[in-house]
This record gives sequence, structure tokens and C-alpha cells, in this order.
Amino acid sequence: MSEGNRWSRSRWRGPLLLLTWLAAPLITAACTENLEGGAACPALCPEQAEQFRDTTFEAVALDSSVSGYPVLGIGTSLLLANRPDTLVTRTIMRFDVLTTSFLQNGTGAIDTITAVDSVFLKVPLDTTGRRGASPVTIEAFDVDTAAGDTVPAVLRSLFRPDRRLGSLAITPATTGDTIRIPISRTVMQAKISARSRLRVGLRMVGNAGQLRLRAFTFGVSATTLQYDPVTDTTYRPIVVTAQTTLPGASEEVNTAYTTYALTDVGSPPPGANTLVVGGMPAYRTYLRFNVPRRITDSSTIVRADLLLTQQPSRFGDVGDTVAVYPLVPVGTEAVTDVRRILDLAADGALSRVDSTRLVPRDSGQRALNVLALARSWRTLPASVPRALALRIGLEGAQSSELRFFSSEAAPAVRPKLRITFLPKSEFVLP
Amino acid sequence: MSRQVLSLSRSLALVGTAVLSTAIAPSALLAQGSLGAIGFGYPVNGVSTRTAGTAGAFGEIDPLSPINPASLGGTRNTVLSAQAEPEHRTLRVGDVDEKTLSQRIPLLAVVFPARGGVAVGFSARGFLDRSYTTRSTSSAVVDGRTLPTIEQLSMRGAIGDIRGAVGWQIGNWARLGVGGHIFTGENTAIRERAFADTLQFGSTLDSSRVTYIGTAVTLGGELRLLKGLSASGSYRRGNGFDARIRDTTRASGTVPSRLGGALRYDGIAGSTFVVGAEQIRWSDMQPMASARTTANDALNVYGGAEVAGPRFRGLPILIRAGYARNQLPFSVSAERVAETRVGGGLGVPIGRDAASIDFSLQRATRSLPGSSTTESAWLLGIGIQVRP
Repeated sequence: MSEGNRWSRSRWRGPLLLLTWLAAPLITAACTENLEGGAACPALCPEQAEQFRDTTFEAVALDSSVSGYPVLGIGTSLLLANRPDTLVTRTIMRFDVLTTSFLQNGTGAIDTITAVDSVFLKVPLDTTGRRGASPVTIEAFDVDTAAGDTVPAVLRSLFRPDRRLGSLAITPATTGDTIRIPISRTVMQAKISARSRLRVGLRMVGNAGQLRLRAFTFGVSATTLQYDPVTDTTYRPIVVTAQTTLPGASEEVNTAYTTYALTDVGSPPPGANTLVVGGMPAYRTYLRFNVPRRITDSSTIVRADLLLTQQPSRFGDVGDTVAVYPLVPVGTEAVTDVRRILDLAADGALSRVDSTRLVPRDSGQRALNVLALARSWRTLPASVPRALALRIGLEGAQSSELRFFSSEAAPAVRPKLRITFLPKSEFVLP
Repeated sequence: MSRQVLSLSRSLALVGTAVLSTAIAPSALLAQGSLGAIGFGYPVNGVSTRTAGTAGAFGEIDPLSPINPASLGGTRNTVLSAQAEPEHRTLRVGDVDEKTLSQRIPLLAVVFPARGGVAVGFSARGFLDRSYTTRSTSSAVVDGRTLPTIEQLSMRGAIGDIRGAVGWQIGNWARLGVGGHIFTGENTAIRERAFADTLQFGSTLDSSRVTYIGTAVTLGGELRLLKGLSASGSYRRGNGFDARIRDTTRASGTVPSRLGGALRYDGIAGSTFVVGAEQIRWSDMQPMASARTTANDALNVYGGAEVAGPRFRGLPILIRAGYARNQLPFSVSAERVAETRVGGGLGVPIGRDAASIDFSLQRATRSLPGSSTTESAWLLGIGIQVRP
């Protein structure tokens, strides 16, 4: 047998097969390592965990309540209320462009409108906001004026008998999801003939009551003006959507003045030591915190509560449960105007900060969970203040408000942060 | 001859099946913070599969086991060696069994012969293996209330021993050797704590990493006492051993010194018998540990044999067995964890002298006096030596 034959492939086959046979399970074993356990802990687990630490401190460096929310045109609903002891509001709707021609049936020819019929203001409602079991009257007035048409005092002065356009008697508690307020055909015809505009002001009179109007749907005014272009009932009504144009104004401002509310009787102003969330017009509250870096940067926060001491509110629907929604200010220290800071704030849901439900007439200490917010402070640039803002649910469309003691109140009732954290430790050494 | 091959194939197939079963059998969901992994970890004591087959008894005389540099002396062929050694560990706490499966490459070694009976060896071996995950329920006190938590600690890493050594055979009666060691490695710990109330409380995820660096020098010798009987001994002197976190030395100790000796009898052709003992001063590492961990000096004793078995392609298959009683270095109390090992193995030549493959199977049992917790483990080794 030659040397070549002795080292032939056939003589290696057996050992190689065996080698492969044995190596394969080892390779497989390498992929299935399992090191998980714990039954012997803590007896055989010498790495001791650092203990959690609790701290409650007055962390508020600045707090303030700002009124006037929601900004005109931003809210999706409006309140039309007549509750003289609490809340009285009016609404303004602007139809600056009226349809003045129509297509004749059969011929399709365009004809000028000369006689209108069945003129209505169609207002969709949010039925969850209606109050009042007694009949009320909703009156519509022509509030068009040549000057000062955005000044509340001027507009209020136009709610007078000679400008009355129509009225509707209803019982708020039993209304459906839409009301149709008849508008004077004579006035409407005159406006169309003059190629003028119609600006309607609504108010509620008679007994106490409240309706929640749908103001905007997808950015377009929800209230429409409807009229027949001729007295012949075979014609389909013309539908006009509220819209307006202010000289030199931006699109946002124009939208804001399309449909909005005026408040005659609203929330009392907060006192010197009070923070307000909600009300009419609604307040938002801004709180800026000063939290030690050893907590935000060198620890893991596992619980963070904003402790606010609630005062009983006497305004609006004090027995209703209302939600407080967080806003997360994201502006830098360069922005010092609180209203501007609030305008730039992000929705708290984006930072996974949840809402809290409270009852306005209650009092005592309340804990708002701000864990996700506090854990995000570590990632913020130093130039961004650690802050939180609060707004109420259905802002501008419900009258409830929540009142809390501010940082100027007695020490026991000032806002505080309650934080539980785990300090960083080098626990790897046994 | 063909019958022998068939028989061997069947035997190895059985071993392979056993390996496969060990490797891929579904493990229990839970496993351990174990007796073996306390402190800086389990002393892997990376040795060759040959030595593992004797439960560590051949460590002083085996040139591929980086313990006694004198054993390198007289090596006539270049040898490349690699091996794997999975450990299937079962921890028993009361009536609860937890199983883990660890994968290790305990040793990579290369030996180069030089002139005059001198040989040089380089190796990298596992020194302390600290890889485990514990998942347990615990509690945390928040605002005076005790709240349930779930804690998971994942510890990964090891300390290795990188050695360069020279051995010299002086005639037929003595060998001398010297080696230099670098001990280096890292441990990374990741700890997660979660509360049962996930709405109000967030979880924590912390990590911490330490690196180790230390050095040591080993001197070794072997002296023929009588025909067929020789004595070997080695002493490793540890130098500084630092534990560094980021750029800061957080703790300093000393690489554990070691003194070992063995008697070897090879007066029967084809057979080798060894008994020995070693003392490792693990307490040298105590300054690196916190008060929660106790480092105890360990005295290990062992005995083992290698005999020539049936021949395969003209060369004998080597059959090995051994027994050892070890003390593990780290504990959570003054009591020491004791380990008993029983091992066996095979050495199969492949391609005449060009290569060989070794198998070892060890059964280790560990216990801590005063505790009902016990631990047992199967360690399966496979090593390949190539002599190009």
C-alpha cells in the first residue's frame, strides 16, 4: 500500500464523519445557552440592590395662570349659555360671502336671486353639553357693523330689537343634535340684493339654560346658513358656510373670527395665591420646576407626582367630574412670555403624561402622575426649562374650573413634587 | 480492524447522541444564582480536555494545560489546541430545581518546540466565569409602604488568563519552566427592577461595567525521582490586580498566588498515574470585593490516570479517569463551597500523529455547609489538537 493510498479520502471519511457528528451538537449547544434563574436569591445573590429614595419638595420656581383659552378659532365647540348667576355667553357667526344667483330648473340658466324663502341658521349641537329643563328662547341679531366689528362692547350693543333677525323657542334638555333658527326673509333678501354680508349674533334669553354648539368640523365652520333661492319649493336650498375676511389678517385670524363666543358673565379672576385651570374664558396654568440634577440626571425616577392642594370652586358645574390634561412646554429659556410658552407647548399625550379627573367642588391634596415627564427631563437640553402646563378638558366648551393653591400660598399647601428615585450605583463589583 | 472501527463508531455515536441530548434538550424556564457563580465567578481553571478527563489531576504535567510551564520542556512538535466545554448545571433549593446551560471555550493553546529541549507556549484560558441571570421577586419601600417588585440581574463576563511560557528539559531527569501571565477581562451587569403597579411606578434599567487587569509569574519544575516516578511543582506569584470602572481604579487586590505539586508514575507502559494538590490564595482578591463577598483560600486535591486502550489505526485510544475534591473560592459567608468532581475521558488519534481529538465528561457536585442548597453539573469537553 502506497503512502498516497494510506492518506486517501476513504481512510479519512470515518473520522471526519465522527468529528462532524460530535461538533454539530456543540455548535447547536452554543446557540442555546440558558443562564436565567433566581430561586437561590437573595441568599446566593450577593449583589445588593440600592434602595429607592423618596423626596417631596417645593420644586416650583414659577407658576402662573393665564386666561383666554382656547384661542379664537381653535376650540371645536362653543357654549351658548344663559345662567345669570354663573355664565352668560353669546356667539358670533360671520357669513361674509352670500350666494346671490342660482341655476334655473330645466334650462340651467344662471339667474339672480330676487326673492328668498325658508331662511334658517342651522346649528349642530353637542348634546352632552345641554342644560336646562325649562323653555328658553334663542335670539338671532344682525351684528354687522362698519367699524369695530371685533370689539366685544360694540358687538354687544348690536343685540337690540331693531336688529333682531329671528328667534327659536326650545327646551335645552330635550333638543336634538341640530337646531334651525329662522332668519328674516326680508333682511336676507336685502343683504343678497345689496351683495352684502350677514353676521349673526346669538343669545339665549328667558329661563336659565345652556347649549354646546359645534363650532368647527375639520377646520370649517359647522354652522351653515340655508335659504331657498326662489319661492318655488322645487328648488334645492342654497347652503352657505360661515367665513370671514379681516383686512390684512392671516388665515388663522380669519378662521378665528368665523365663529366665536363673547363672555358676558364668566369666571372670577384667581386670587394672588391661586392657580386656575378651566373656567370661562378658560385658564391654563404653567408651572416651572427646579429639580436637582442628582435626581434628574444621576438617578432613575420611578415615581413622580405633582402634588397640588385643591380649593373648592364655586363657579360653573362644580359637581361635574372634569379632566385635567397636561401640556409639555418645549420652548427654551429664550421664550419668557408665559402665553407664548403655552402656545408652543406640546400635548402631554406625546410625552405619555396622562390626564387626571377631578371634581371642582372638592378640596384637599391631589396627586397628578407626571412620571413620564420627569423621566424625560434627563434628555432635555439645559436650556429647556423643566415645566408642565395644565388645561381642562372641553376647554371653552364647558364652564367648570379647578382651583389650586399656588407657590405664594402657605407652605403647607404650595405645589410640590413627590419623587421616588433610584440613585445610580456601580453595583457590578461583588 | 473493521469491527474495531465499527465498534468505535458506535461508541462515539452514543457519546455524540449524549452530547446532542445535553445540548438541545429544552432547559427549565428558571435557572440560578448558583453556588458556583458567587463573587467574581466560577473558577473555570481552563485546562486541556485531556486534563479535564482526569478531573484536573494532570494539570501539573500536561504541556497543553497552562499551569506548570516546566511541562512544556521537551515538546517535540508544534501543537495547536482548541476546545469547548459546555456545563449543564442544576441548582436545587429545597424542592425546586433550576437548570442552566453555560457555554465555555476554556482554553486555546499553541506550543512551539525549539532546540535543546526548549519549548515555548502561548495560551488563553478561562480563569473566572461570571455569567448568569437571576430573576426574582422582591420588594421596595416607598413612602413607608412595601411594594412588590420584580428584579432581573444579568451578569455577563469573565476574567481570562493569557500566558506566555518557556519550558526546558534538562536531560532525562528534570524540567524547568517560567511563565508570565496577564489576567484581564470584564463583567457587565444589567439590572432591571419593575413594580407590579406599572401605572404609577416606572421600571429601572441600570448597567455597570468593570474591567480587570493584573499580572503574575509562574515558576515550575519537574524532577525524576526514580525510574517511572517523578515529582512536579509550580508556584504562581500574583502581582497587582485592579478593578476599573470607566477610567477609575475602584478596587485593587492581588492575582491569587498558587502553589501546586503532583507525583507522577508512568512505570507501566502506556499508562500514567498522577496524584497532587494545590493551594490557591484566593483571599488575595478580597480587597477587590465588598463585605458581602468572602474570598477563601482553596485547597484542591486530585488523582487521575490515563491508560492505553484499544488501538485505532495502529495507535492506542487513551482512556482517562480522575477524581478531585475542590474548594470554591467565593462565598456569601464564612463557609466555603465544596466541590467534588469525578471525570472520565477518551483520547482518539486522527491521522496518525497529525491530530487527535479528546473527550471528557465530568460530574461535579457542590454544596455549602449549613445550607440546604446543592448544585450538580455535567461538564462535557471536546478538544482538538493539531500537530502540523
